[in-house]
Amino acid sequence: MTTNTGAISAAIELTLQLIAKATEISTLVSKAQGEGRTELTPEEWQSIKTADDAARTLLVDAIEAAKEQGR
Amino acid sequence: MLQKIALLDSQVIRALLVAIMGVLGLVLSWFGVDEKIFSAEATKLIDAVSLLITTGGVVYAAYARAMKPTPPLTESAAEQTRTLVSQQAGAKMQSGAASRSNVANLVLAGLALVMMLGMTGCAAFTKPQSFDDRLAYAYGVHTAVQTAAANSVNAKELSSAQGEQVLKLADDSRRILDAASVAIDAGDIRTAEGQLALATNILTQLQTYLRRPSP
Repeated sequence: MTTNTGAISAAIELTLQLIAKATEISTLVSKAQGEGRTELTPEEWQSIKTADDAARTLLVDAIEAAKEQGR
Repeated sequence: MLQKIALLDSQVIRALLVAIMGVLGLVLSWFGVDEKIFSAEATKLIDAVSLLITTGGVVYAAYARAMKPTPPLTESAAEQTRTLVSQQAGAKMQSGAASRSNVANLVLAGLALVMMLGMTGCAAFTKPQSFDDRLAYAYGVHTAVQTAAANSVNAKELSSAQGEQVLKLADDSRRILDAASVAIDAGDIRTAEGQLALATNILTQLQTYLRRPSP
């Protein structure tokens, strides 16, 4: 039961993150399309990549913390 | 011992009778009675009052069902109620198992809600029309996968080793996404499309893994 609950909880977590991120990207894409652009600006790309780098840092930190706790 | 009561003694039946009063008005309007007697404005007002009465009746019926004693109205209902009470008394003895089951049900309900919100959200997302749009969404999925993995590791749903597996694949897919970005900037759409397809494939596998991590 615990394993199943954990797996379901992880699936919910992923779905929530996907929805949140897709909403953010959708806003950028919608803005670009509204302005008649087929390309995102360098600033928009920078914001997307900066957020991605921050997510990587979160994952690295989480792995390090788990290792310290012997997990 | 449960005793049945008379139909008209039931709060729910009384509320039902009030609620269906509006039907009388509807039947009368089929025969044009209201139009002959009342003006158009008065008819609208009567319809509104009728709707309010119906709504009030239904709300009270729901309240009475939830908050008041609900004695059976027929002999067969009384028999079924006795059986139900007997079953619930037996079920109480397994309350430990029931509470665990409730946790699972709660999680499943949460998942269903999230899926529903997800489907609702999908309809609201702007459809990608250019390569840049699709590449941006792929970066978004990449970010979401990393964040979800980090949260799952923190919540002890993934081990550090599993987190490292996700990180390695995430790094691989990020390099491929960056290569697609460079290729499209250089005007090499064919290479860019190939790189995006490859990165998307890895990201799909990562999502599958995160939804069902192996022990």
